[in-house]
Amino acid sequence: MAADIIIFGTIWGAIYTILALGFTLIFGVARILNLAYGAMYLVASYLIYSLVSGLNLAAIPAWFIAVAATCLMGMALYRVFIFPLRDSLGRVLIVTAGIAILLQEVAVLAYSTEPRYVPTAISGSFAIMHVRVTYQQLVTIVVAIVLVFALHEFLVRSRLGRELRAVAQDTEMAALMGISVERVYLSAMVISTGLAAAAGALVAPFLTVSPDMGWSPLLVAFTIVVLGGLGSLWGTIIAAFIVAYAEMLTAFLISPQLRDAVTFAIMIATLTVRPHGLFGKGIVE
Amino acid sequence: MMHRLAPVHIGLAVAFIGLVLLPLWISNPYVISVLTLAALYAIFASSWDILSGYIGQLNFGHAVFFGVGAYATGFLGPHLHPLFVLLAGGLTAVGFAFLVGVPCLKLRGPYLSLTTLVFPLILERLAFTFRDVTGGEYGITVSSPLSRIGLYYASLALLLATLFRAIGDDDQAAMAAGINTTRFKLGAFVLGAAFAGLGGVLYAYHLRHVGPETFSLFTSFSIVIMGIVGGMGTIFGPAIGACFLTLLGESLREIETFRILIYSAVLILCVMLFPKGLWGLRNALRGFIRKPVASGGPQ
Repeated sequence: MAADIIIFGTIWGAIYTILALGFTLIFGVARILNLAYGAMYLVASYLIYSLVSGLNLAAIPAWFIAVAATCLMGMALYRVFIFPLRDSLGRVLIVTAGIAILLQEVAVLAYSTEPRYVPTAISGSFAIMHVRVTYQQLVTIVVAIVLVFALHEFLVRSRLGRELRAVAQDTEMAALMGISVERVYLSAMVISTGLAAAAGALVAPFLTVSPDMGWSPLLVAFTIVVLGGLGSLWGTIIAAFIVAYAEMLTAFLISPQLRDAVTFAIMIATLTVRPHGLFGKGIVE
Repeated sequence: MMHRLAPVHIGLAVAFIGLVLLPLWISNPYVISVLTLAALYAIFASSWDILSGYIGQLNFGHAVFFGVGAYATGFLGPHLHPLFVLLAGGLTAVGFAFLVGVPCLKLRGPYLSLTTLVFPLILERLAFTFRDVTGGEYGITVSSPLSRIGLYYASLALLLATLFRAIGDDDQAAMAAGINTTRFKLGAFVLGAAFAGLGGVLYAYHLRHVGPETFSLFTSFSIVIMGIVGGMGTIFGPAIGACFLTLLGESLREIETFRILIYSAVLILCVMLFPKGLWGLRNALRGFIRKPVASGGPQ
């Protein structure tokens, strides 16, 4: 039991880190709270299902195609729906909620509410402390670590990464320095969508894919960002693991159905008691 | 403060009297049932607007208030007189108004929206988990003490009460504007929740059932959609939006998915093109009619 909680908590902590980083990126840089974020995770999961089960594509090309196609979709969503409403946080919130519901129902029409199974790319498993861990889950953790490291390097070393951080810190100053703020926002949206899609495509093989699967990653990512604070990589990682372990404790000790409920409770408790998050640099102004 | 009687208010009054007299001509139980549902959603949407419209914050979890009203009916219906059930539904919702409202007092914008969003979801998970008490996904069967027509009139009466109470609050809202008192915000939570809770009791009687889907994400969102499509902050707008979408949804009833699809498409179109909703179109229409007279137009 304890071993299950530790191992699965670690796997989910890694996935949640990717999800939360993508969410905090678009929110921190462009102040866009994208409620369709979870829908991007959903789209990538169904794409990988269609590519692998429908077209018999190999797992790795399917993964790249699914993530790339979802990124394009994120770009289109930004251009068509978010960009015209950018000045109103409330309207962006509503329109992205509308898009999330719409995409969920499109998935119902296209695939029905029946859960779908994506075949695992790498079969086989091994045991740590008597807990069966599939190679797919191991790959997920490795990819998550690589993505976090790559994102960090990108933000610190690349020109676009530095522009993203400049805009996040002070948009007006960044604009005065000649940075094209609009281009930075669009890049943030694409990278953010890419991270949601990467997470969705990674977990699809060891979860079932169903039309309502997008909401929980959205709310989990929001909770982690609230708990860890904005703009802190370590804060986000620590918060992601806190949420993941809390969920696994609840799922194994009380009931798997209450897994989400504990995350929601963490969100409410943090916003009520410590609105600036655990590490000070909070997002609530 | 006196409210100026606009043609639109007379129009609404005529429409309302028409609804009251309607059963004299049409006794088709299906029509009555659909209109009852529309009136109930209008109660939920206008009570949502008491909270969201006046404090200018999007409540994404209104289902928590009418949901607990409906569950109170499921638990207490067999044991109490219907009037006490109604009271219990209202009071339970008020209790939850404090539970949700107090954490929300210091929050604004998306933080308030997402905090309110998760409350009904927590209750949904609890309803699924503690199935001995709640009946799990099957919910609880409710028997209605009222006939179909009785329920129709009860819903219309509650809708009228909600609308009157809400416009009564309009002046208070104007006074509180800029002061931003905690009491006013909590008061809006309590008032909005109370009407939603009372509506929830009638809702359970109408459906003759209460289940966890009452707390689902889409139930909460459909109220937000009705409010936004009708025109947030106008009280009448959300009520009209609720009637419009309920009737539109009912005509597509065969497939639930289409209903949700249409709702979300209408929402997206509305936010992009008519951010003031149906009630805002009224002003546009008036401007259009008066345009030849008043050159220059509004503003």
